Amino acid sequence: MEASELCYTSLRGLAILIQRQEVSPVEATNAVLDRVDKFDRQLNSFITLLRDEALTQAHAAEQEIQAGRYRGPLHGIPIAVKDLFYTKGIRTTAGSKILSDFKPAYDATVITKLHDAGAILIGKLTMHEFARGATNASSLIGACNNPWDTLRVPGGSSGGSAAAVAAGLCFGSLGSDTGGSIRIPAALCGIVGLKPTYGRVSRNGVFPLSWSLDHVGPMARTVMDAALMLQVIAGHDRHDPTTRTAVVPDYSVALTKDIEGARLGIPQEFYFEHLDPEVRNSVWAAIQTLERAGAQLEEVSLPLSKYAAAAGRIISLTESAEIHEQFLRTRSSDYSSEVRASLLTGQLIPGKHYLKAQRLRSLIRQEMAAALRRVDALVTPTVPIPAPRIGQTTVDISQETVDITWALSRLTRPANLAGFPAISVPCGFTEGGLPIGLQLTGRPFAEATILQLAYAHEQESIWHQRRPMF
Amino acid sequence: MAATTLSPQTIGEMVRKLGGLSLSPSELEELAPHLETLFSDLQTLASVDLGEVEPETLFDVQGE
Repeated sequence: MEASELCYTSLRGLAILIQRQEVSPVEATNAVLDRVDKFDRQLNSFITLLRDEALTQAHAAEQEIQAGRYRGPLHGIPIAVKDLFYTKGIRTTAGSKILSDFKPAYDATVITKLHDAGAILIGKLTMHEFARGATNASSLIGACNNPWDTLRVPGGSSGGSAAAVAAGLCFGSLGSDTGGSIRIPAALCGIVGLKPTYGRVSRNGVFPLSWSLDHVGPMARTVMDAALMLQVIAGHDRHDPTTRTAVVPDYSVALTKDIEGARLGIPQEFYFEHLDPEVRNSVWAAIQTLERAGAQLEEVSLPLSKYAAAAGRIISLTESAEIHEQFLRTRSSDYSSEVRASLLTGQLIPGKHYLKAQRLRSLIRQEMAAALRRVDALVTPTVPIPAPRIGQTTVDISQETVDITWALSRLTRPANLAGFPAISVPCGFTEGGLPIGLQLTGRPFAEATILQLAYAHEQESIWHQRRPMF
Repeated sequence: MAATTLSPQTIGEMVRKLGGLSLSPSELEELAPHLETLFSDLQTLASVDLGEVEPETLFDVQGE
């Protein structure tokens, strides 16, 4: 198999080859490291490349597997993670000059779980500075570029993760999602991104943006790959009191179940307003694909979702301001101007407004929960527009000029406020060749349901098979 | 982010009152569009009838 073919094999496909010892972890790791060398200058997705460490891990995995000690589907798989996951002794910058020399004393719980599963960590990926933005245009190493058009943003804040996965520079990644930061770049880069239920995956050792809104989840090229990664990272963690003891099901088994009779909720307000026409057409085509696969469509009403952006911003800004208080006092000039201004704004929000936003959040969650008692999942676009150009600050939608960050995150924020699981899967491309994402939102801890629906859609579509120019 | 219509003096006064922060003119200029968006968000919140609902803490999401 040619190196480029190998690098675009799915995580699941590579796992089978490694288990059969037809491909060695060393071979797979060298293939992606060579690819990073060759293409990442054009993408700028890696902040830190762990060449020697990765090859040491790969040799160890190879020896274990040859000795008959195969650990499971992530054993020997080269992955990379967003640079806000703590990695012991390895710098963790959160995309900021302020943490450019920060070497944590311990691994994030999810990093430990990936290590225990035998995954090979090849590097740390760029992100919007401190995850405080949706474009990835502002970071320690400069803008990250979208593999489908390097003059465009990959989305953010987990933009490096999405770009690297989409370009075959790793077989899967972890991102974090506070207002859409896994799903937005997944949609703009044509990959799968899953934000699990709040409490499903540990946030211990993950540099926070907003405690009550932050989620950790997988980013991968296929739904099965995302399921396999979630399987490893999900579950209770005594170091994160917000994690739940709810049983973690076998996600890859759940995927293959028939979706005949599954009820899909189509929101009548908000989610299908202010959409780029090509996004609208692709999403409706995807909904029809799901209907043909056996799902039943039902109208649902979610009028409060339109307030999610305001409530989410106020909560996130206030919590961020507290998280960054010390740095704002001592390292203010080391932030980018955009992020510093955003954090300073958070310092000006009176407590009563924070609580008002949290009260509104209760109503939004109650409304979403009521809709999801009637249907199994909500189906919507992930992002109302395709990837904007780097430096673009506004976009015209429905004869209105709106702010880019507002546009990028308006459809993803409600699931963060509710804490409910949501996944973005590729559902089409614009005529200009830019990916479009479909979002499925499920009941709390029903990740298996949205993965199953996403998988059913993937089986009937070809979008995940397209590759960018690299 | 909304384009600002506030004067630097007004913004500086607001920042001092709300946050106790004394910022340079350039920092105030950076802050202006963010404040416009914040005020728009606060107006949005004020327009919603919240009834008697209590604030969400979300540290206990359970199956519905």
